Amino acid sequence: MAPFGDRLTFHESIEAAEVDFSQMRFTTAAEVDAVYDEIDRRATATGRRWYFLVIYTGCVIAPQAWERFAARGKNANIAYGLGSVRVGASADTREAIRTDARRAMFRANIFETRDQALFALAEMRKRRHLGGEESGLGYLRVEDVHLSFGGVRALSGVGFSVNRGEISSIIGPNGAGKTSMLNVISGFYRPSRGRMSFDGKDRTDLRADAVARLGFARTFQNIALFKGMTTLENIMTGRNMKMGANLFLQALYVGPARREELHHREKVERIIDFLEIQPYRKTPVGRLPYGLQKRVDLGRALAMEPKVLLLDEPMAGMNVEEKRDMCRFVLDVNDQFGTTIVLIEHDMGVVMDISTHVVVLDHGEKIAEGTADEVRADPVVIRAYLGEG
Amino acid sequence: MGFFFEVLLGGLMTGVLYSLVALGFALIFKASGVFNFAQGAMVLFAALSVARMAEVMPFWLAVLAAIAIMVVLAWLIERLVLRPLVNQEAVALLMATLGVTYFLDGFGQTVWGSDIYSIELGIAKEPVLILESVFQGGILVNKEDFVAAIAAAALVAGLVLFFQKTSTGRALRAVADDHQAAQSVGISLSRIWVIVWSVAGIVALVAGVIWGSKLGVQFSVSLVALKALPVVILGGFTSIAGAIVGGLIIGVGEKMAEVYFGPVLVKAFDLAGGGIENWFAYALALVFLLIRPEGLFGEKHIERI
Repeated sequence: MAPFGDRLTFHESIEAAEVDFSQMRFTTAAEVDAVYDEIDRRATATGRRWYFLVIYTGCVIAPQAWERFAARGKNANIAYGLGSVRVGASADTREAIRTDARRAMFRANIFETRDQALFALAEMRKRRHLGGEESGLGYLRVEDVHLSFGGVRALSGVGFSVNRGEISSIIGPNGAGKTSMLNVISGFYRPSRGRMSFDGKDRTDLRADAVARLGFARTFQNIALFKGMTTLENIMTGRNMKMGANLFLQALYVGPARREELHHREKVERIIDFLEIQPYRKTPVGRLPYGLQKRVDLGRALAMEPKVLLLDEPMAGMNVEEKRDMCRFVLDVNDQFGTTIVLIEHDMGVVMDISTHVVVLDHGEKIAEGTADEVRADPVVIRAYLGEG
Repeated sequence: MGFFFEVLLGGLMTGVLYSLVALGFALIFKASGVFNFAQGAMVLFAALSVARMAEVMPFWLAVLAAIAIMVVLAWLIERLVLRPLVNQEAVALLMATLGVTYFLDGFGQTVWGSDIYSIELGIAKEPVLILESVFQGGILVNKEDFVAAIAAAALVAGLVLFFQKTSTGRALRAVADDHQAAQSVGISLSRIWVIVWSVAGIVALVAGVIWGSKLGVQFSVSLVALKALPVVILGGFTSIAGAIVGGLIIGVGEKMAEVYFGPVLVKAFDLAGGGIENWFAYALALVFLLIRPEGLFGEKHIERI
């Protein structure tokens, strides 16, 4: 095979190493090794880490070479990668990458065009640089929130803040007040005391639909889909508030109203692709199995192009495989759209690994907050989960 | 044979009107879970508004003005009745609509007067013969009825399209399915309720105008709602299709019963005959309640125990 030569370019300005696999054929493990040895050598020589922009257009990777290809890619990432975006993968390659992503829980990030990939890359960089800077800090702030139903106190004095672009999770044992908290954030419950602000503006008194229009989308623990509608229609409802054509034009279904409908339809189709639910587009959702209904629920929330996505126990009742899928979707959403995500989960397992920030509730009070590792090691948290003694 | 079709056609034309009123019931029940007792009063109020305003302005303008009145009424009902009572028990809401009924009946009289008023659609009332080449003697139809039935059918078809094809229609269906999920995608319940009550008001207006032009606008017009009740039982409270099909079944059924079943009764039991039209719909609804309580198209409720 010809030397890899100018197929590897370093773009200093965007911290990207562009790897051009276009029109290449990998038929044996040895060929894969030859190419990756060169990439490794040259990248290591720069003495820094890079984002990868990988061009797959017309590239064919034979099944017997795939395993080596995936392994070398993964090693490169661990050694000097910051993250990858991929362009132009054929259907086979895309499927192979997705399968690996599912298994190893990395972000697939496959795009149609180079521009889309560059945009996503820019978003990834921006988030890394923003990291702890003030612009993204305290995007959503919850202060001293109290909530009670009659005499029962569901939340007392809970406060925390969520940074822009982060994945945060609220965890806690049964009855800790997690869902109450989510309902307060999404505007379904009004706190009896306390304040909430979003992007620096107070939003304590907004009703649920106004909160949604502000850029909050949510999913439901017990899946609240519109059962009379198909998958497509359900997700279309997520676009409803983006539609501006007035009632009268809609009634006539002419001109702008029709064009608008088609435009939104396109966006929805993209979400359906993203969530891999194409075969069920026209199926009434009531007939779908539980795991798929959860995906449609997520799809409807995504269709709103939310700034903050609230997920109520997204992995509840799922098997290991489905949980991994869901994790990957959550990570992908966060990566590709820069969406801030707040999720609620009962068990400390899988969500902890994808969260940058964890809040622990017990009996309606916040008992701990921090990174996943900090929280895991906290004796108070352990006691709450395992009981006294 | 010609006579049979004449009865059938007459039944269908009345049936379309029942469908219209039942549609008003079903729309509101679906979107807000309220059984709107005031539907009949809305029919009367709308008809009164059109009849009285048409005395001082062109008919089409009177209709537009009446539509505006019904929309304002919908908005007021949402503001003053529904919103304060949200999350209350169904009985409280039913009582509230009962209150709206009496208010509208009385308020209509106060504003528009309590005489019998007429609505002139400007269509000849004489019956005409159609299909003379197909049946011997042709079929006798009232031209005004015929036009009215077609207008009503067009309205129903338009509404169905509106619900299926537009984003507002989708929002309406979303609210009908699940209030919380609808709110979570940014649909405002109050806005949808105003739209639904407005649509119900407009449907009531069309029914009121048609009914009023036949019988004259008077209190008895509001009783048409009582005929629509068996229709929604038959069709299912939550179903638009049910309201339409149910209306047609009741319309045709009662005419057929009167014409064909009546004489049999008279002969067998030596009765005076007649009046079957008045109770047939209820008897049919009762039978349906016994064998299929959720109606033809309604949702079946299965409770887990």
